Parts: sequence; C-alpha cells; structure tokens
Amino acid sequence: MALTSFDFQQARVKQVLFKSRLRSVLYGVREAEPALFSLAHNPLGQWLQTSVKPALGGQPEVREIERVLQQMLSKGQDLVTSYTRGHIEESRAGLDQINTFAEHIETLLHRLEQGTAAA
Amino acid sequence: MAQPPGSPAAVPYFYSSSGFANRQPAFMPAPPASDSPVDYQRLFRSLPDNFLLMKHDATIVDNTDGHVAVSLKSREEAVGRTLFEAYPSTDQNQGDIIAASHEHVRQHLEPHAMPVIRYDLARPAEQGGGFEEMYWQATHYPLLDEQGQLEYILQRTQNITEQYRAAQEAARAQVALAESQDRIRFVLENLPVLIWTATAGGDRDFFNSRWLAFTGRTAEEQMGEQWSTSIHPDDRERVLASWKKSVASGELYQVEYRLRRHDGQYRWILVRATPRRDAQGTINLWVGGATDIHEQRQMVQELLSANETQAVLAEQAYQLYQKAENQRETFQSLLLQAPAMICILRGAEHRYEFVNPNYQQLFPHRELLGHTVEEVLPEVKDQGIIGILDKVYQTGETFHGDEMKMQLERDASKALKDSYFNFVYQQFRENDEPAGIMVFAFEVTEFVHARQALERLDNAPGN
Repeated sequence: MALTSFDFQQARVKQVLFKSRLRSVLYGVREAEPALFSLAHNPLGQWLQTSVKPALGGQPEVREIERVLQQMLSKGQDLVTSYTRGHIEESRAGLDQINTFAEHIETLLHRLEQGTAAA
Repeated sequence: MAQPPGSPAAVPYFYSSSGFANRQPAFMPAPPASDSPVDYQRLFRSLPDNFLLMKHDATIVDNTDGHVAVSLKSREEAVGRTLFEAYPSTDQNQGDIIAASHEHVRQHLEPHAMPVIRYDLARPAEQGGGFEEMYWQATHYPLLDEQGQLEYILQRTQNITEQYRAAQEAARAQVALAESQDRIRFVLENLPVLIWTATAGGDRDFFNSRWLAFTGRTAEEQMGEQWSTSIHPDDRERVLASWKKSVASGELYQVEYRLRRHDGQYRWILVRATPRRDAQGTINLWVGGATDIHEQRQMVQELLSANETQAVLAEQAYQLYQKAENQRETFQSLLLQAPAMICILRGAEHRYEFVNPNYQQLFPHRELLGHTVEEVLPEVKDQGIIGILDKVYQTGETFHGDEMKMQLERDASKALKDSYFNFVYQQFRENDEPAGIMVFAFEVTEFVHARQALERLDNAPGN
C-alpha cells in the first residue's frame, strides 16, 4: 500500500517518543531498555523496515534516514553511558546533538513525503 | 594649608624626601664645661629630632635645630614667649587642642600625644616642586624636678608620614577585604542556588541561607556529616558513597537525590561540587551547588507518559485507518464489479465521485468523474432529471424509477436515443447532513422495446 501522510505522522510520533524516552533516562525517571538503541527494535527503525522500505526502498532519502537514525541511536547510547558514570549535566547537554539528528531525519522525512505526494 | 602652632613648617632642604638623617647637622662636641665633659645645650640643640622645651606655663625655653628648621622661626624669635604667642594657631580649635594637651600633662604628669595632623612640605624645585603630603604627630612629655613637680613640658614633633600611610593603606586594605568578603557572602546568599562548602576531608563547613531555609535546619544541625540526615533514606547510601569517592579521588562530585524540605516533602535536587586546589595542587576546599530539579523531572515524566499515550493512540488510529482503508477498497471493488450501473454523486451539485464500469459504458465518450451531472449530461436537464436529483438530495426521499424513459446521447453522434431504466436515487448522509446521492440502475431498454413490440402485436388489427 502506498504511504500516506498518516504514515509519516506515525514516524514523527515515534521519533518524539524516542527523544522523550531517552530524556527520561537522562533525568533518572526511567531505566534504559537495551531495545531503545537497537535499530532493529527501535520503533522508527521498525517503521523504516516494514512500511518504508517495501514502498520506497530505492530512494536515497531512505538510506540516509537509516544512517542518521543509526548515528542518533549510538549517540543516545553514549549519553546514557555517560549518565550512569555520574556525568549528569554533560549527558543532558548532549541532548542537543540528538535534536540535531532528529531535525535532520525530519527534513529527510519531509522530502520523502513531498516526493510521495507528488508521485 | 596653614601652619599649625608648634608644628613643623615647610623647610624643603631639611625635610625633603631624601631623608631626615642625611640632612641632620653633624654632631659637634662642645668644649667640655668645668663640671662636665659635654656641652649639653649644644647636644640638645643638635638632637636628630624636633624638640621644643617649655616651662609648665608654655613659655619657650629652647628648641632643637631641627625644630627651628621646620618651624621657619628663629630661636631668638621664639624663646621667652609662650607657645601660643610664638606659633599662633590658625584657629581656636587647634589652640584648644594644644592647651588641652598641656593641661593633661600638668594634671597627670604623663606624656600626651595630640591627634595626627596633615601638613604638606614644599618639594624642592629639582624634585618637581609642589607640595609633598606629610603627616605629623606632636607629643608633650612632662619633665619633673627633684621634688616630682612639673618643671618643663617637652614637645616632640615627629614626621609619621610613613607610619600614617602604612596605617591608612592597611585600613583601606581591610575595608577592601571586608567589602570583598561581604560581596562574596552576598552573592553566595542570594544566588538562587543551595550552596555549601566542605573541607578537604569532606566535612561540610558552610551552608548558605537558601540551603538552611530549604531544609529548615540551622547551620549547626547540618555541619560535618549531619547534612546527610536530610537525604531520603533510599538515596542516602548512594549519595554518601559518591561523596566519599569524590573526596578521595578529587573528581568532580555530581549526584541527584531527594532532599527533605522544611515541610517534610522530599524534592529532587541536582548537586555539583568542585574542589579548590592550592598552588601545590592540594585540595583545600570543596564548593557545592544544588538546584531543585523536582518540577523539571516531573515534567520529563509527564511528557514521557503523554508521548507514550500519544504513540499508543496514534498506533490505534493508524490500525483503524488501515482497517477502514481495507474495507473501503473491498466495498469499492464490490461496487466496481457489481452487475449494475452504480455511481455516487457528491453534494448539492451532483458531482460524480465514483462511477463503475457498467455506468461508464452508458457514456463511453464522456469524462464523468469530477464533473457535475448538468455539465456532462446537459440533455437530461430538460427531462426533469436534475429536478428529481435536487429533490432527493434535499428531502432524503428515495426515488424509484420504473422503466423510466430518458433520451441520451450514448455515443459521439449527437443523436439522442430512447433509453429505459429501472433505478434508484438514494440520498446518503455524512455527519448527519445530506452528502450526496447514490445511483443504482439497470437498463431495461431492450425489455421495454420487446414488450412494446408484443403490445403492438397484441393490439394489431385482427387479434
């Protein structure tokens, strides 16, 4: 089935949820789950795998999203490691970089969505 | 500045900054007197200091050369007169101070120092001219006779510029230090942060008033390790272990824990402390700051809950959407394949939204979708069809057409053909409002023609 704006909306919700989960780990509200940083188990990663790739697997944006998402996940993992070592403020300051990755992914999603709408 | 009585006057060659001792007239021993090998009067006058000797009533008896030099008045002009006559005061107050000092000496037979006065001496032209700021102090000493009665008052005037300046400097430094300490204290007390300091050994030795106000404890109740009694019991062990580790290693101390507020509520705080090191690198102080992050933490928690709920709802909505989409596709394919002519007209203008292939076959040469009935089937207007559609749309009453005749252009020939249909015009509603009409039709032209042919046969003459 072709991707609709509803699908992209889902991706955005999943992205915000990832950031919120990471932030809650860095504020000691929640323990980190290993699946949070796994491309295969991360909700956005799963969405890429099951919804996007079958429909738009050939698009360069899809590969780029996967690459940036992988970077965002490993950065998130580093921040949690830093937090558990007691570098509380430093790890929180790192959320800035997560935002940069997330904005990049958002730009790519937007481009994909525009392409889908135009097709 | 006017010259105060009894004080030195400007004699630059004598009191210049090059120093007192160097300019002191050399001591020249007098020829021995009959009963003494020393000329004491000459010795007195040559003393390297500014002395003025008076009787108890202030009548001047003698003075040293130093005094002559700084007072700018010859000995002859002074001796025999009172101090007040020889060196008139610039004002009554000055005179009163001297008289009071004399009186003190007379009464108590003890030395009396007068307040320090400023009296600037002219600087020699070769040193730049002008005046040099100088400070002086005069002291009156009692000299007693053999019966212990006051015989003379000895005035000694000292140049205390150096000491005075040093004292002034020390006072200024003290004020600056006090100001600096006051400033630091003000900053510590008024920053919106809970602040403490600890010794190198890890004992807390200062808490700012915000900390004390927050915990509702006195400084004495928090000193040393007592502060840890305000930590939430579940966090205490972890916090103390972390603090001890930092004290031992000198690493930055960073920890989050719940601190009991004065009202008994535990609040999450973030604490950060840095060691201060001396020139040798040895830690001599820890300074720590804590901020209340309770609300922030709560907000993170609430946002997470909201985002998780939203994700679940979005997932459900997405599932429903996919289900609806699948159903829509199913119904659409049923309608497309149905062995009847079906179309959906949307809105009061009856715009084609859906047309199945059977319906489209009626008008193979016309583009129906997206156009209104009136636009693409202009021939039906005069046949009352638009009126029927309008009525169905407005009233919601279903219209059943039974072998209804229409004249339609069914190819691009411009010729109208009689066509008969059994059909239904049925209003459909959305959000409780009329939304359009569904048309469901069978063409019965051949059937009608056959029946008409039969009827003609039946009615034919001879039957």
